[in-house]
Amino acid sequence: MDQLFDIFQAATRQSIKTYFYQPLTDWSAIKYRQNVFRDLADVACLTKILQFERQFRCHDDFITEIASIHDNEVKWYELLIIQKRNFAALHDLQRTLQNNSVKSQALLDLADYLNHYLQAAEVTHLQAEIDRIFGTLQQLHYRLIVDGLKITVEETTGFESGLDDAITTTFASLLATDDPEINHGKIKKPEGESDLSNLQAMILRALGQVFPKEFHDLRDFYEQYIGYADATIDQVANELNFYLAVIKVEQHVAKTQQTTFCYPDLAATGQDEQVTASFDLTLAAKNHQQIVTNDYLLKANEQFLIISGPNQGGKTTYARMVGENYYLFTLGVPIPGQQATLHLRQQVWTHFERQENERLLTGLLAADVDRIWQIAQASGPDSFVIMNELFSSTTVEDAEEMAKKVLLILEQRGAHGIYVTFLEQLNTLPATASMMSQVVPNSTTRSFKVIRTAPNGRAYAVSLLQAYHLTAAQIKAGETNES
Amino acid sequence: MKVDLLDQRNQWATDWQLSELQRATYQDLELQPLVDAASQDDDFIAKMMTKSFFEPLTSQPEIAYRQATLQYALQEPDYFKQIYQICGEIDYEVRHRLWIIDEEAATYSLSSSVSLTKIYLGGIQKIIAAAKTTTTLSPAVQQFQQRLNNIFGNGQMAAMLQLLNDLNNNHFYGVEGHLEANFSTAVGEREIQHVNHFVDRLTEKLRLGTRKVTFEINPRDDNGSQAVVRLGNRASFKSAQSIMTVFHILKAFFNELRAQTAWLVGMTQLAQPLANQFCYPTMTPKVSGQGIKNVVLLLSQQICQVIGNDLDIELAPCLVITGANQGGKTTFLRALGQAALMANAGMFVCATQLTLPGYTNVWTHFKREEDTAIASGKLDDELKRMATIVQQLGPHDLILMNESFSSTNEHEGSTINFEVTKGLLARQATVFSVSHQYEYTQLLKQATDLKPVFMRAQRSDDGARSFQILPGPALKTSFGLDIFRKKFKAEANVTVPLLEKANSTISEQTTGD
Repeated sequence: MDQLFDIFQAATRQSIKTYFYQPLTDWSAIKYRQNVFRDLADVACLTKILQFERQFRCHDDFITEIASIHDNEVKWYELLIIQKRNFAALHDLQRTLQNNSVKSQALLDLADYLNHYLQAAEVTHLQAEIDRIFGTLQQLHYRLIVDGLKITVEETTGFESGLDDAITTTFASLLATDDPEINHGKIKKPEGESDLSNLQAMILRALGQVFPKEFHDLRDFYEQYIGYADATIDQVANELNFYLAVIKVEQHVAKTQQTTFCYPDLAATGQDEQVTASFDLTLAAKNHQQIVTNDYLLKANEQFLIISGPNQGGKTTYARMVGENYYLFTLGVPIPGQQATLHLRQQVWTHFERQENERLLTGLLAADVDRIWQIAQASGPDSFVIMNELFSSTTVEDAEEMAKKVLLILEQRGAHGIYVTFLEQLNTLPATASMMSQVVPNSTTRSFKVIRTAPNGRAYAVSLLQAYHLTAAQIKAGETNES
Repeated sequence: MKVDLLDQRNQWATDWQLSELQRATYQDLELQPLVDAASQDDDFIAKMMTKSFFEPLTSQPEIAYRQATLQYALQEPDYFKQIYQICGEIDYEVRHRLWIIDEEAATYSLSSSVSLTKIYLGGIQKIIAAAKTTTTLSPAVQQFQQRLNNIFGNGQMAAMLQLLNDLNNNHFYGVEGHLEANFSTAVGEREIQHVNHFVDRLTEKLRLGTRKVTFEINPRDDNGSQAVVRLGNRASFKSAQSIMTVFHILKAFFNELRAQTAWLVGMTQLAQPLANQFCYPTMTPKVSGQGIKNVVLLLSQQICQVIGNDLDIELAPCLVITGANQGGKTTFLRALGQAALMANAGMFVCATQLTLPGYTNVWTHFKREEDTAIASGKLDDELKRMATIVQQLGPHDLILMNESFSSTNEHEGSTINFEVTKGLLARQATVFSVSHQYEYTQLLKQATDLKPVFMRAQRSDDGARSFQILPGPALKTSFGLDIFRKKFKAEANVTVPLLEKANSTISEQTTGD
């Protein structure tokens, strides 16, 4: 799952990783987050919140940057701009929360806070100052005369006629024959300035000399407000990143893979657990190939799913999908699928085969046993245990015997889980259900569907034979490979 | 700027490549010698000739329009040759200097577009100079010359060239700016005044009283000098776009003009060896023609006399040609295919008279000799090829089948062939089919609703071939079937149940559609 968390983290500038390692233990806390996600699922609302995230900068985030600026005019100007943007962002956010009728407690509380904050006397005065000073500066119109790297900044006497006008007038007769069907060529869109460039710093310094009075006002503003911040708003801005990063990743997957996400319900005692049309989110977020969805069902009277079937058929992916879903559920995050009802499983344990070839046979088996013993010790009714091809380093008979014991022990402890295996006999155990990864009929192609069905060891062999027209029945009927 | 010499679509210069099926048509109809004669080793002409076969005209007025320009070209061959040559030279010069590979920055695009536009304007001047005034112009040519005059005449050309010369140095410019909320200077666009150092020094005196500060970015300051570049790009974006549009309008015009004149030059070169053995066809629903000859035979120097054949099938959608081997069936089928492609391309055709409907596509399904190596997959391959044709079948296509499905036994082949033919006809296609399959012809004959027309390659009793293809029913040449009939008598009359079976399979297919 660390790969998935990396993908989430990559979707935002702020550090949000710690949230992923703090699963919630309480259904009401999960619902609290799910409701925020529901509010944000509204496109209009989400667009606005994303815009807020891009525009707003926390005090901690910009203060060091400003402190490191050398030129005074630049320093002053930068603070003004950041504060101006922050307030614009906050007003937008306030409007968004009001207009989009948010329902989650978290966002309702935030709306309330913003309404009070933005009307406080100190804050309204600050905003008025920003507008006044910025307004004056924006009125300064100047001309840049560029001659290679030599630049002159001068008071402008008014805009003179543009080159483009000259071109469109001179070539009017030719341009009139323009046809939308021809390729007009593309010009790289001029880059804006993401950071303050040395050129702009020098222009600002020059402007300080050309317009000294206006820049004195700017300096006064800086000295008064450089320390200004609101801790609550800064924290909200940070936490919103968690939601937005998850939404960005999940929406991208939903769009590219044509899939859906849902908010799992808490399963009541004695209720079946299920997720329909789900998939492995990590795989989907990493790959561009079309993923295959699968249903998950664990009935109330079942504790373990025994998954078998051909290699490379999607068994491990299926097991991973289920484990991830349980974990994501405890984060309050929407999970892949159309509809989901799950129990809260606080512990998701995994035992996947390790590639430790240099070890001796006994060493590998011993490591297997050791690890599963630790898992068994730690497991209880809250646990979900995923085991993938356990005991493959011993004989089938032994492996089967050990697997049965492990399953029985875990069942006695009340644990639930998945056992991925080529051992088909395991489904004879009580409280298990078997599933199989599927092959497209009459071929060797994997469908990556894993469905609940009794194991059929011959299914794969039969499909191979059919592909080559070599089943006993076909040979007898004299069918040829001429279709 | 429209070229409009050959049609009003002006799509000659667009990217185009033979699809796999078109390549098959091209090869099966043996169009290479025709294209070779027209292009005389000019690959570009060859490409345009080929392209015209596969982008057919669909109405009689379009055909007449193109034919008129073609007739003018045959009458004044030098005019288009000259324009084609000018276009080629300009094309070479532009390619040579064109460094706009993908999207480039605005200042760079501005200076490139300026110098390339100059090249094109030079070309336009040459084309205008080559204009014909004396002879009777075809309407398309007359309008072409008129358009050039409207756009560039009356001093407009001189003004354009003057502005382009002023723009030679674009590192010097003035631009108005104001502070933005994103740490940068918002700039307007370049001012026309500051395009020329000399003029600027003169006007500087007028601005003496203004407060100003001058600074210089250190050339080693990457951040600063890159910001200057970005500033330039923002200030030049609008004008760069305009001049880029100018450049692309001219480029599209020259590309299209080169393509259209290439075709006209090609046709002039093709006409020479054919020595007037052609006519201009008309597009009507009726299929009828006289003295239709295979172009490739005409172009071949080894053959002194080429037999022309007549065709008169009126509105029948299905023509079946049978007859002796080496009797000229395939040659005739090819001649028909060539004529259909040439007529639809607005070319002359090698016949004394021809009317044809406009076919959306001409597809060929020819027996492939080279397939014998892979005997087991031959029928598979034939079916696969036909399936590809069916997948791409247009509303009014012509399908030329030459001994289709003969890679299996006659009975099986006939059944398949008949089913396919019937299916194609149901899709409004026209089918010209050469076949040795007697059973196939009989199945067709009994299916009167298909209105098949039969022609037969002639063979005199002494075995000599006249290469005449005349209306006439298929002959059962299969002695095997005779023997079968003798043995089985009444039972041998298997055609009726066969037909029923074929009908039922076809109806399954069509409901599947």
